[in-house]
Amino acid sequence: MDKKDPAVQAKRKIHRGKLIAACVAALAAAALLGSIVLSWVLPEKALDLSFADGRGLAWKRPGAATDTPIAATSGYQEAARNGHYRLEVSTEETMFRIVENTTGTAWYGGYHTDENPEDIIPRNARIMKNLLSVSYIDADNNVSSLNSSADDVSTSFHTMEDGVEIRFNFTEPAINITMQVYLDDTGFYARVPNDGIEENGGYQVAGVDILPAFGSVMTGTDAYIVYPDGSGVLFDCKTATGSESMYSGYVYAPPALTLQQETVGQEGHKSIPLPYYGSAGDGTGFAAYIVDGAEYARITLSPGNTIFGLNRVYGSLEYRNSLTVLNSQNEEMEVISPERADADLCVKYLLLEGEKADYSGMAGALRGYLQETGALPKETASPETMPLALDILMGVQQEDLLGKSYRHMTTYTQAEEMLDTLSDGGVESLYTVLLGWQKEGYGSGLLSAESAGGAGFLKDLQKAFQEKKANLYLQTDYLNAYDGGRFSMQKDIVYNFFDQAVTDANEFRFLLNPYRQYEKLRDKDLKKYQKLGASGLAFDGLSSWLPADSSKNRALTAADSKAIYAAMIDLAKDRQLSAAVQVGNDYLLHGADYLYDVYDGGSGLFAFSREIPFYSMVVHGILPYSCATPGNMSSDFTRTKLKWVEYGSMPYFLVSYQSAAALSKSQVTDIFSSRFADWETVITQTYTEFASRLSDVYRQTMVSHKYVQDDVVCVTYAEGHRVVVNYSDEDVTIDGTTVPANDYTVINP
Amino acid sequence: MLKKCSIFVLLFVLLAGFAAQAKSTIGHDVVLGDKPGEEIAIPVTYECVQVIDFIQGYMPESGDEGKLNNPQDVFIDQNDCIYIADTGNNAVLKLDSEGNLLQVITEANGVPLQYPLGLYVDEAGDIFIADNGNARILHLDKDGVYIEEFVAPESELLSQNLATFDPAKIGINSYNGYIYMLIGKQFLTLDALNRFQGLVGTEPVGFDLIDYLVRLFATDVQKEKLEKREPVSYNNFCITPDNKIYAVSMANANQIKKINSIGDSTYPAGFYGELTYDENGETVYPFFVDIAVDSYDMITVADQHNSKLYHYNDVGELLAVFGGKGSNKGSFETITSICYDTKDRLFVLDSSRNNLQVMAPTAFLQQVHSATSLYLQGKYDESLSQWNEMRQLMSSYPVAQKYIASILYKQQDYSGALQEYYEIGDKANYGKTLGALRSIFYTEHFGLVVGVVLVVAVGVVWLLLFLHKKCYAVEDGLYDHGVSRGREFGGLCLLSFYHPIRMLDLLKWRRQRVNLLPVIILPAALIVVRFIASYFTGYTVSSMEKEDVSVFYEATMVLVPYISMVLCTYAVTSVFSGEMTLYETFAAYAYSMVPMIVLWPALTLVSQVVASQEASVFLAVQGFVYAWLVWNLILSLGRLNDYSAKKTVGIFLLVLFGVGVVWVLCMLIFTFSAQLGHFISEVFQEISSRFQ
Repeated sequence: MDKKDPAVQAKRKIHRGKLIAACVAALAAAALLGSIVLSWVLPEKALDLSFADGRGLAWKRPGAATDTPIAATSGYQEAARNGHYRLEVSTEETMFRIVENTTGTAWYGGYHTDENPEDIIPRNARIMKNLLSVSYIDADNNVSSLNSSADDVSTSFHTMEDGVEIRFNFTEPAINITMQVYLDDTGFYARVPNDGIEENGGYQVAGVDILPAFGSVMTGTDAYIVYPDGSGVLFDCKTATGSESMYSGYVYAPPALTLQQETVGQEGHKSIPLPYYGSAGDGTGFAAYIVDGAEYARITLSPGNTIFGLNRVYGSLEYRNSLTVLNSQNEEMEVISPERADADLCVKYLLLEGEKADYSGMAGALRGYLQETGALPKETASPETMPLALDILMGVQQEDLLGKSYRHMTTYTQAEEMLDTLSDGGVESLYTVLLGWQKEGYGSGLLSAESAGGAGFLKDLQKAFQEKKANLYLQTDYLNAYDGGRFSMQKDIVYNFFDQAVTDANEFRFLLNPYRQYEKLRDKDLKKYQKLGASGLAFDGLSSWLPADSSKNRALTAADSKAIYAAMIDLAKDRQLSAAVQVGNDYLLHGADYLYDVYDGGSGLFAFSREIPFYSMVVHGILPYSCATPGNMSSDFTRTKLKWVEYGSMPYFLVSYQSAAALSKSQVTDIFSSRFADWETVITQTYTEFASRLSDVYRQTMVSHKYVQDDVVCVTYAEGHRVVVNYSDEDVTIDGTTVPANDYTVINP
Repeated sequence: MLKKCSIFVLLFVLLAGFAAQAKSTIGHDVVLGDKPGEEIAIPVTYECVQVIDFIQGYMPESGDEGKLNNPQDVFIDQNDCIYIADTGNNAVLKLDSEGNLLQVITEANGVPLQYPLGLYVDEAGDIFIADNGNARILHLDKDGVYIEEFVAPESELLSQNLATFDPAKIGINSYNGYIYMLIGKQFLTLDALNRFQGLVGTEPVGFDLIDYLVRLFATDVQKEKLEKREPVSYNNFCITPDNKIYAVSMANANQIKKINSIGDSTYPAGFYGELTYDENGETVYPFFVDIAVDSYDMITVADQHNSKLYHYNDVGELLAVFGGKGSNKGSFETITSICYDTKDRLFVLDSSRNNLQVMAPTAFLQQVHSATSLYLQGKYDESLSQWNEMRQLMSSYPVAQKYIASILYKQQDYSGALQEYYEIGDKANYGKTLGALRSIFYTEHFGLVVGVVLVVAVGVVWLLLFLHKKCYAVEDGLYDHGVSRGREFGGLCLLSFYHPIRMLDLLKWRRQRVNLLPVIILPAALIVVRFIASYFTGYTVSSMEKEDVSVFYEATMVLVPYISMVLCTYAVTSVFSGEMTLYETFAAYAYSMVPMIVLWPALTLVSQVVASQEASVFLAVQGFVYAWLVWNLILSLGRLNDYSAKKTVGIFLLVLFGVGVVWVLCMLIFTFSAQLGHFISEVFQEISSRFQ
């Protein structure tokens, strides 16, 4: 073969070309594979959480304690004092008390009684005098507890700025714990610093109950305990029977170790959005608020029994969680989280006396404290005129033989028509959340920021809302991912300490890593929202769970997640987007412009006798909010309307242009009546009624809430207006004013 | 269709547990949908208004003062006094309507109560207690003073079955004074003289083929060891003030009975409650532990397995499902008994929580009751107005729609009723309403209808005759090699309708010439025809919801059988000395579709006026068209391969078997490849998310 033959040369050229192409392809493939392998093998850079630093309440931090213990004396000796209170300690009794300087009213660290100590049986005395309970885990994973009031505990008091540090040294097992108690102008703080806990001999601290007998009340006393279930509930100590069961609820949410309801054990329960508790009676009371460590905390109601009727309420911190898993023999076994939560437990106690010593006074004191510490805005964000809350269901994803498709429940034009109808009907202020506007539809997880009906229509709708000065929020979900969605099982979802994906029994729902979602919001979604001309975002789910991720490269604690969620609100605000928050946990309130799905009752727990609008009393007049039950989906609209009045909520409806019957092929199962045409008259009539009768009180803070009768409540506002709500079927007369049955009346000052 | 249904059922079962509830804060109850696991949300129907878990003054000396212990029965008398059989404490309590203690009965006639399980209080306030542990039924006066007791009756009829007298539940029929009781599996009556008066509501055990065969071939010894088949036993019952007897049985269907004087159930037969599944995936049937009837004759039954309460109306329609397991008010742990008071508040006794919850009907449910009652009284206008109001509140409440449709029908607003029945998917009543509407139309336009029918009939007959005449000429023309493919296609189509054998002969004669027109056009035409038919077939006889209709589905239903039949036929005939070419098989089977393509649109047109009574005739005609298609396929197979009739049938069955095998194989391959695809897509997703 002649090498110079042009045909041969051409063939060679082709061969060379093929060879080069093959090499390039091989190199590219190798690079791709290499980078994939590297991305798996190499540790990722540490998460930069600096943006989330410095968040939370601006509560008073403790000073350093001296090493020299306070000398032992008999009786109480003063350890600290400020302009309002003095702190006295009894080294003999291992007890402290806070005394109001002017009135001399004293609040003891435990339960105080004038009974002769010798008449009290030792077991009860230990419960009454207990300042701290510690639960610990031994090598066999058995959980036991220790009380600071036990005989074998050595205790020393050390002075510190405005307070004392109490060091408890337990002997068996050898666990040392420090508690700090220090004063401020409205009460005191009790704190268990994490670095004050010493575990020895292989024993691990599982949890700490702080001041478990503080403010406790004996059964039969005319007093009650306030518990933060949902909107707030009361435990009546006077009528307590001793048969009530203990109830312990997680603050915000249970630890995100699994989403299996039966494991979580709180199915159907409402969450605790504000970590407060308290008791009041006989002219004194307190409101406690967990200012640090709330994300690992529980609040426990421990009712007395028929033998010893001491009813207690206290906060606890869970340092370690347990999880039930299956071993290789498919048997259930309990595993304990290997790491102790790196958290301090700090509770602020607001002390109340006189007329303020009731749950209204607690709510008022708490409101002031939250404003002072920056958790709650100082200025009102409520609009000038009475608003209406309206959720518009835009579309859902439905299943058919060809897979999933988006079904419009309301088009953008129809939503605009609704706005015009309401405007013509006299609605002057509107808070609207657009549900299911994304291409994934309502009820889907990991929502994109892409409109299902086209960006142009959405822009027009937002413009229309802006022209009418109505608030429009685009619903978002940065918490949930559902099987089949576009997310990475390795990078996007959270894993528990046992390296299991946090999911439900069907492995359908997962929780998203908050840091990844923060990045998504910051780097991608916010640009998209701005392109769509969005004026506000509604953050669903940020109050539902605080996921802790134990993944190697994206490890986050619940505290990190809390700070990240708070930072997400700020991120939106920085981009001039208004923020609406679902339920309204305290870490989200600082930046919220509107709260939706605010609880309008408790979980119906057996121990509690009454539901109260405690949460509403804290936020009313500061943040506009709507309750969780839409008027169009209540079983008794009149009753729901009265509840809005009592709870200070704006009227709230959830509507769509199409009938809810069209949802039959979707996975949305909880909406059964939403057609706007069916409800528009009721909506405008209700709004008009609220605007005309309640506009005077709408922007005022709620200063008092009282049950006048079983079915009649009286809510008093800051300027003296009283709203009497009559749920009964008979007219009632209050101070000469008759309130018709199933109606309400505003009594002017 | 069956296949499609099964896909739907499977899909629904899979998805049922994954319902997204983004607005999970909205409280609601449900009714059950037609599909397995389907729940339709409705407004809350009952709310817990009181929990009685501590009774002041009850057992003050005990460490468990005021607490119930494993209570098993609750009864409310006409004065709304509450009676509780506190079984664990061997006591019966009488409380006022607020739950305050009035009386405690712990003994009678000098004998302490032992494990009291059932209670009844008559109009005079006399108390009857099923004192189970003492094998007696106590009769006490309203103050708890002993009057008499009933013990095991002597009767030859009971000698074998009533080994022990352990009464569990009791009731009194004030009309005849009989005491009704549940003893073990027996539901029986005693008269006031302690004489056995018969069993109640006994159902025949029925014929069981397997049992019959086993007994037929079993030896006497084996027969003795076989379990005796017994009628279904009852769990509980209640007797209303007007002496109606309602009972719940352990059967897997027809669990609710309304027993008349001759012992038959007049309550509609059907399956009540819902199936659940245990952790091993085994089906769990409802276990109805008690039944209660309110003043509207609405029935509530309690399922102890899932702690749910099912509320039915008097004709067996489910109005609401509420309750369920949980640790808050309105949910339960172990329901043992339920009872209504005179205000229609439902009292639910929980033996695990040792409490009694008082559930009051909400405004929504009260309106449902009121509207139902008005309907039953024949006050249709008022009832309709209430149902319409409710529909505004609850647009997809099936009960409201059923009543609205029924009222509209009764008011002869057939168009309105037709629409309502269509929306709720009630085909039987839709067809009935269509029949009524059609009758009115016939009456009003009799002349026009007869005229149109005559014209159409004459036109069709003329067309058929004309085409029949024409097809001979066409056939002659087709024996010309120069005829165009289009003409050949048209001619063969015509022949396949009238003379399929001649069409096949022609196809054979033209074997050398491939014409793709029939292979492409005829299946495509059948897909279009089926799609149109699926969409437009009258609702009475339609087999598919309009929103489910898809071209993809119809194409699958035509092409998959067509192609698989052709390939299998070709393969089988190749083995069995067949003469058919692959093209011929495609073409012949395509021409076999012609009758269906022609007749299906006509049937679709006719279906518009088919009412319920003609539905079976219509379905028979549809079956005839399918049979014609199959006949054409068999003819093609025999004629083109020159098989004998016997061999043709044999080969056809073999082809069908082959098709079955191919489909099974395809499904296996599809399943495996879907899993592989899923794996690849997950890997791709993982990689792509890493590079995002």
